[in-house]
Amino acid sequence: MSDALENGMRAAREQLGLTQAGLAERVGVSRKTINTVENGVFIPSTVLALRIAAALGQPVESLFWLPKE
Amino acid sequence: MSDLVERAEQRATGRAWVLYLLAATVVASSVLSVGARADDTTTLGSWLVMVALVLVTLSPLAARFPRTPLTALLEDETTRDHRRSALEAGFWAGAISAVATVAVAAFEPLSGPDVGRVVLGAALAAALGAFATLELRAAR
Repeated sequence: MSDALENGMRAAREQLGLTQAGLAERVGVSRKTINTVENGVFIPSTVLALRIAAALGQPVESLFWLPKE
Repeated sequence: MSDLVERAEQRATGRAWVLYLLAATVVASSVLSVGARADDTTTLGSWLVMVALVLVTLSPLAARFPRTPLTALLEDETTRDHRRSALEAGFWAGAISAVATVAVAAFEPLSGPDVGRVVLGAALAAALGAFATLELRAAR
């Protein structure tokens, strides 16, 4: 079973006109956290995923999903 | 970029370069102190101080006090994950260097302090280097 997680963070962020730093400020994390989650390098914890979804105003399951196998 | 996020990014980048410098210092110190006399308290004392400083730096305590919004950003989820990965790298470097010293000792006698410096030096340098690399890579 793959541990990968896909996300639509960049599109959602750009739709709101936010930079990575701007989203980081909303979520309360560093810019590198937003960068690594967005690029799929880091899989966020449930808490962080929920906070990102809340900051982007979207349900978490529309923002993060498992890749189709 | 908000002031706090920008300051945290600058501090984290600076911290990563300091970690590289510390790793180089650990390697140099460990290499130079191998073979030092057991009663050379100056060398031993300075090496112990350096090790203590490195251990504190690798510990999450270094970024948690004082508790401010800035230190919270410096110790967020990715940093904690990077620290865990770095400590894992340090463990394996220590284990491999320990095996190597056992093998070398079969042919060339090594003193206890020398083995300790080699093993700990390898472990700390690997952990510091891994932590710095992960932090800088994430910030790109």
